[in-house]
Amino acid sequence: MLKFYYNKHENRLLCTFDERMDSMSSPNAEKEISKKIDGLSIENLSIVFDLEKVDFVSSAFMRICIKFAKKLKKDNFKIVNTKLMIKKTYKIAGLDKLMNIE
Amino acid sequence: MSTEQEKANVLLEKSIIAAGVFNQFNQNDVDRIVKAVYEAAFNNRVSLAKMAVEETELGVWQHKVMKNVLASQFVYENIKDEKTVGILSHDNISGITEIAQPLGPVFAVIPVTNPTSTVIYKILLCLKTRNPIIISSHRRAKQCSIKAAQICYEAALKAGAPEDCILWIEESSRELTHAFMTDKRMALILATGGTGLVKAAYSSGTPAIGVGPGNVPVFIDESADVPLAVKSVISSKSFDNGTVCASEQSVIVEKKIADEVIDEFKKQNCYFLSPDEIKKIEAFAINEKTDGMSADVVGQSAEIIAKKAGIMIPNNIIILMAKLDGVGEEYPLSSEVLAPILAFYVADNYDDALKTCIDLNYLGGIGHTASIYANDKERIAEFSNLMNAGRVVVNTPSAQGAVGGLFNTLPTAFTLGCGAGGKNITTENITAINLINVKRICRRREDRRWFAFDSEKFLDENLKVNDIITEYNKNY
Repeated sequence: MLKFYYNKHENRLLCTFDERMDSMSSPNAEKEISKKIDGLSIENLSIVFDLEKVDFVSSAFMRICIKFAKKLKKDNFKIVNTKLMIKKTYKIAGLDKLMNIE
Repeated sequence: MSTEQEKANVLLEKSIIAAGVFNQFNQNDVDRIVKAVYEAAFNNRVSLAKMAVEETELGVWQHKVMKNVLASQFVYENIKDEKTVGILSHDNISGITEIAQPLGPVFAVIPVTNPTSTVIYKILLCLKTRNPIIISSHRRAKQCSIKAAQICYEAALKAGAPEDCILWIEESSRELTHAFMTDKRMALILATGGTGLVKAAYSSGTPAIGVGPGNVPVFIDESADVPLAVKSVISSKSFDNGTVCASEQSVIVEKKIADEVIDEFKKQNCYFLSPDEIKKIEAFAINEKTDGMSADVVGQSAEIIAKKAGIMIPNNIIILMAKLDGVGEEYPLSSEVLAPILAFYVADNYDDALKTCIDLNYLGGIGHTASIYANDKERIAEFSNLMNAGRVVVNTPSAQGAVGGLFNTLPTAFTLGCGAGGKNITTENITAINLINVKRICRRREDRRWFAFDSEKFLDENLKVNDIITEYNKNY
């Protein structure tokens, strides 16, 4: 289940995800995130995807990451708490050049 | 960034993401996907074959069905039980564990001669090894190649494969091919095509598995079963109108059995051209500018070739035979022609026959395939030793024999490595194992000689090899 924690003071949105971000669950997640940031100022918004519980990411989920990384200012999109295999997946896909992955 | 580079970039971005996603798949996931794709390809074998012949205007649709069967059923049977994910082997004594690693995006060049079968074959190998694939079809085989890729992709997705694991180029061009081949994100080029294209692949800076040109000599020895040999050569050379690069190009026999072999060829619907007719066939089949085969002759039937060359032949002729006196530029039909035209040589004796085989082998076909019909084991061994070939097929139709599966236990492949002679890295029939990197975990297993030996002695110039080796191996 996707959960949000918005820090108004820092204009920072933390999103936590479930175990599998596959092609079924990813489009819904995208819709929910888009709804959540609708109305927020993009200017200094930062988004953090917490993948602590995620053990599979699909192409669809990676595209969401790319979309938000491109939408926000450089360094304002971050992926944190990746499992080892997920970190490698992002590396292979070359997305570490586009976003911070921890 | 040029338009072509931008186009390449769009597909490469998708493909590299697919590579990342694929890396998370286990062996069961992969095997399920491969099975689904094989079944879909097999179920469409006839429609794809007909489409290929209609679009390319070369070959025989019934034979292209067989190629699709080889590329799906036979390739699947070869690879289905192979381990391609995770630990491949572990040996506690040596301390070595081998682990499979995928390569990344594979750029697959598809030839006009075997389009749908090569697409199916390369897709199965790539999926089995968790490598995304980008299909680049020949301009004359675009529709059928893309259709084959689409069928495979749909089946793969239904079985849970990553999005974009199979991609294809809608409109290819030299610049676009160059952009793909030279992009640093591309992991491997599987280059099945003409010499120029294979050379471009090898020059790109991206690792490449290519093929070499063939010029397959067939020696029919006096110990051979002549009717079987002739039947076999005909079935191979006429298969898909000679489009397989491993098909026979020249038949060589000793004088003592020449009449018997010629009669047998005639009996089995082959036509021996007169010297004038050979000239006419050469004019049609050979491109004057390149001295190589003309694109117009490739994959055409004997009847059409004769008609276009302006000669009359009897009905039902399967192969045109050109009796030649020499090998080389002065005898254009002594080189590779992917059509049902066979050069024919009569040698004075066994040694001369083998010398002609060597000349033909080295006339543009080194590293590819050579063929012998014989029941004399020593002669088979001598011939095999003399030929520079990745495959020497024995008492076997060369085209089907080299491709593997039907007549021997070679892995079924539509990319036949031709070794250093063909400017390739391997002589193998390319299969799944060639598309993974093997990582080796090397646990400590000490060479106790090294620790028992005073290594300072290596620094002493006065000590020679025997002084050191004797002591190094002491008590070992």
